[in-house]
Amino acid sequence: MSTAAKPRQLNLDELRRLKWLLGGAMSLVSLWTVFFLDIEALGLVAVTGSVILAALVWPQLPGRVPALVWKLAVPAIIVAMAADFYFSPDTLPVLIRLAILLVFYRTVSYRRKREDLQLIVLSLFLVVVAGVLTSALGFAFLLLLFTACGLGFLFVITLIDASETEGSRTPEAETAWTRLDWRRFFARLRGVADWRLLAFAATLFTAVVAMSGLLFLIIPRFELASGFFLDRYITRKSRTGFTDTVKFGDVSELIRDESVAMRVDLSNTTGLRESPYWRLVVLDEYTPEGFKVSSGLKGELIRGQRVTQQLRGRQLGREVNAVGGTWTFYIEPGVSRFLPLPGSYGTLRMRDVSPLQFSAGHRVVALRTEPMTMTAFQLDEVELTAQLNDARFPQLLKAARENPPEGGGQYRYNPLVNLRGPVGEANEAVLNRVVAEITGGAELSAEEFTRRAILWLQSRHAYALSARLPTGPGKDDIVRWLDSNEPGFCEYFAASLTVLARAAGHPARVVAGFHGGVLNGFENYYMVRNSDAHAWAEVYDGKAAWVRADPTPGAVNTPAEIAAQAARQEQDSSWSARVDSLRVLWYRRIVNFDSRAQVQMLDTVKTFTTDSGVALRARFDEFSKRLKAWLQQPWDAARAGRTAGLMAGVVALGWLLVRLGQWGWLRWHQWRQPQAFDPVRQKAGRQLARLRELTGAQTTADGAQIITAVREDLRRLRYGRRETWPEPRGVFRRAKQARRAARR
Amino acid sequence: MPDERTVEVSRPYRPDPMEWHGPGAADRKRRIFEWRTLVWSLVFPPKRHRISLTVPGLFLMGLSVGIGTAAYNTASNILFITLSLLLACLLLSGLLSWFNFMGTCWRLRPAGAWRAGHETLVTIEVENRKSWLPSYSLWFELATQPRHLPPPEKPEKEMKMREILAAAEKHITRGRIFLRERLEPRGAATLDWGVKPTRRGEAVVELGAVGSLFPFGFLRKNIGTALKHTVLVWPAQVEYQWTGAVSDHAGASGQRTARAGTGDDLLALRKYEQGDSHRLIHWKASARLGKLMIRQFAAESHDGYVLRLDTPAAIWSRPEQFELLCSFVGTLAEDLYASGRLRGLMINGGPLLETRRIRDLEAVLDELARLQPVEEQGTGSREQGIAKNIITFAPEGARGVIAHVDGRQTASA
Repeated sequence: MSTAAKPRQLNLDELRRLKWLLGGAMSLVSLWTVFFLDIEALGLVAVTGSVILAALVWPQLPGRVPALVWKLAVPAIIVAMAADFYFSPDTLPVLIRLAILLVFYRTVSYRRKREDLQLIVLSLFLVVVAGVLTSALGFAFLLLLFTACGLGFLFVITLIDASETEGSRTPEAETAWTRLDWRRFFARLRGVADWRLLAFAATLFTAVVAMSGLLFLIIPRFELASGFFLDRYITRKSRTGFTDTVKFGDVSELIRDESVAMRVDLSNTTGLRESPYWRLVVLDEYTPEGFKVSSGLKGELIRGQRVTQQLRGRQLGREVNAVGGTWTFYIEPGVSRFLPLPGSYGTLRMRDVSPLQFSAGHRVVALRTEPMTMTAFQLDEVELTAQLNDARFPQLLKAARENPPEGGGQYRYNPLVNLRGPVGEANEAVLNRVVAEITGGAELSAEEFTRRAILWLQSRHAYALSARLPTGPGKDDIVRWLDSNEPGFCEYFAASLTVLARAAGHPARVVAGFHGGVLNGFENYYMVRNSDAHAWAEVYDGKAAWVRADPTPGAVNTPAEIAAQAARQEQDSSWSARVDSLRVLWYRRIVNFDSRAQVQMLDTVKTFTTDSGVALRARFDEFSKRLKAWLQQPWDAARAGRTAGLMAGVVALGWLLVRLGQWGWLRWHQWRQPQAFDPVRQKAGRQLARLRELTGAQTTADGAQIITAVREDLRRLRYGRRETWPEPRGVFRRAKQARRAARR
Repeated sequence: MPDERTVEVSRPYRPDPMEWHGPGAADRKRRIFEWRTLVWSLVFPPKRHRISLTVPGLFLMGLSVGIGTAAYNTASNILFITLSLLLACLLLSGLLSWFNFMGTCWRLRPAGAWRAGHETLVTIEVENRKSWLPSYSLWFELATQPRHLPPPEKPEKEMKMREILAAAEKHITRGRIFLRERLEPRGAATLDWGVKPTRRGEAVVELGAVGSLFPFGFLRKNIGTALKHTVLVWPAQVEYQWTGAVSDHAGASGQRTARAGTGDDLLALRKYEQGDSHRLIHWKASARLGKLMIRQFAAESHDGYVLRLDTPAAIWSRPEQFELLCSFVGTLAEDLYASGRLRGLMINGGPLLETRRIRDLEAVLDELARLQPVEEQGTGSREQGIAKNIITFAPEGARGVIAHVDGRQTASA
């Protein structure tokens, strides 16, 4: 085969080296995605990744491994998987570890086309599983990277297929690509890279991304009531302390964690006047180790379980201080199975149909299991108030006091649990003494008692992240701390206030969750970090409501303090907030996209298109009216001159811009190829090619003669010495005329 | 022969610049650009354009279906994104394949003389007329078969469809040649296909389709071309035995050749033709006539032979023997011409085809390529004044052929 121009392209060995490079890069990207998964495979990923990297840099290494090792590799992987299945409680982590090993095996061994395709499928499996299980923004980036590597890999495979000659090659020739020098290889890559091809490839890749985005938006959606989901095959423990039991110290550990726990997307922030308290779990039962969810409340949650997508929340009490708009919550995996609720709400809507456990009185909603992926839900008509109405509680309390529940009904909610604190004489003596100090012997309302108790606690204890519990026999931890002057953190303050209120006869409970967060300065949402974890108390007001009381020093409890806090509401406009806002966009536009959003989007597009059309037509009508009016005005020489001057100016400006563009283009070419570039020769070449296309077209004898003459001149311009050139512009003009005549 | 099957062919091959075919060929009618036409051409392939899925493409489709099912089942947008990306890759694959073929054109050039049993070359010229983008990984599917297929043998038992197809394929030689390097923008390449024709006679060489797996190997795109040329396949060369009877006649007659050759005597001047040696240019004559003229020298003078070939069907009833006759005559003619002893050939009483130059010999071989047994012998003058050194041919037994010079056996094959 011969080609007219000397080709600048990679030979077969260089293509094979490029394939090796792209295959390795693709495998590394797929292994990278495993880091998003919280499974026991990070050590395996680190080892396999390092070996793949070594094999990438030194491709001759796999050739030095004895053939027996390659033969035993697959049986060894199968045995390892069987053992893993036997010892591991979950299915999915085993499959992921198997996929890692297979990707590793395929990447570091020399491959033919079939094995190349296997490598793509295995790598894709890892990427997709990691994406599905995490829904992380990083997945989007890695998926794009994987797509770029994968497409390049397939492209090179196709080129190799076409370049390979029939017949067998010697083993030395087969592995010649492994002995190429990297520097020479990259120099060759740079040599064959053509900016037009690279620009075309970049444009195509952008087109793929745009096309897939469009397909994503228009693929019809419908939800199935109960679907298969991968996260059933993997169990996960809560990273936070927000489980059914919160021991002293659980929340304070979280405070050191600066990672984002959840994001709350607000469609309207006008009613937001304070840092919200995000209630996760209500701990109503006292134990010497800490507070926990009582069995009665657990039973209520289980009894209230239903598989649904929507919950009505305002079933108890009247509406107080509702904030407008919709609040969308995006909770990171591993936070809790309890959903963070800022207070009462109108409707809670999950992204998917899910099994939800619900207690209306406690304003607690929980998922059945710990979610593996990001959890998203929406609230509307949210109430931001310290008061939670519970009209049912007085009746329950009265009924329980009159007929105390028997031991057999431990899973039936017992309101008296909100009155039980530390037992034992020593504990009770301390509590009674402190209560007497607070009340001064007077009968105080719940509100007044709470206010005084908080003052008492804050006067005796300072706030500190590390607390030291005084030792001593016969008394519970919280009572000993209460009786001391040791500093403490939110859990101690909340628990102390709760036991004091209970000792004074006021039902009270501990609530754990988050407090505050930072408003993102770029997108309208709250970033709540794990370091915002908090615990506070809720005290029954004796009528029909639970009132929030936050005894931790520095907390905001009075209306004046709330107003002051609203005034200094901070916005985070840092670079990290900008990066984080991308994540919310990812959640908002991609992860949380459903059939409702699709319909909304189509409506928006339709409205936008219609409105734009109407607006454009109105503008055009307006413009044509003004133009007509302007034309109908009396014309005189000065006006005509001004108009002509203006038009001439516009034309001149356009001409100038075109010339400027041409000049820039030529300068750029001359800078790139100072020796080879000659615009006249190039243009003559192009004109010759166009004339060649006319060969054989039906032309008259005169036309053919003109074409022949023009072609001679063009050839002289293209190949001849400069001294022999005819005037180029005239030749190009005649070439154009000849083409036009021939087409006619 | 009445029961011969005839293959529909295009006109005989003549080099013509307008023979370019393919999406980039210049003779295609210029159409007014319309978006609707463009989109429709992307959705519904034009005539003879065929797109099929390869195994990786089928696998990709299966994967897309699996991921789509999982996406609907779980309502996971991550799976929907993956599905969208896979579908976008498939669309991109089709789009790039379209780009790859855009502006490419090709033509077929069966090169040189075709001779049964000898390998010859079919050349394909490919051009990429795109200004910016190269074309990659094209392949060309070629086939050649006799124009007149021999009648099928009557089968002893009823044939199955596979056997019928195999019998039909027996006479067809197929090949696929690959463009192994990329075709640069405004670049050209030539590809050669080596083919060994098996039968004498007219043959059809066809470029069936141009295909590519570009860019990712998911789709196999084929553009059917129906580009055909008819070529003549000269008889095969055979081994024969020359018994030396000619020595009796050496110098015995005055039938001498007067034809161009490599002797010392100037025979004539003729116009320059491409391929002539520049040393043979007659500069004075060229200057006088205003065009290049070539000196022709006379061949060394020898006794000349005339081959007289009569092919009555009654005598040459066996097809194999007749083929041997044609091959024997062709081989003998070439050998005699090479030694400067061939005057010409008479076929079935026709006029004497004199062989003064190589083109005359080629014309003789062309005639032999087309030769078939005749029912009736021609009535023209048989010897046309030639009295001696006439070589005639006759069957020898069931398979062989013998040649006589003036009635004496001279050679056998």
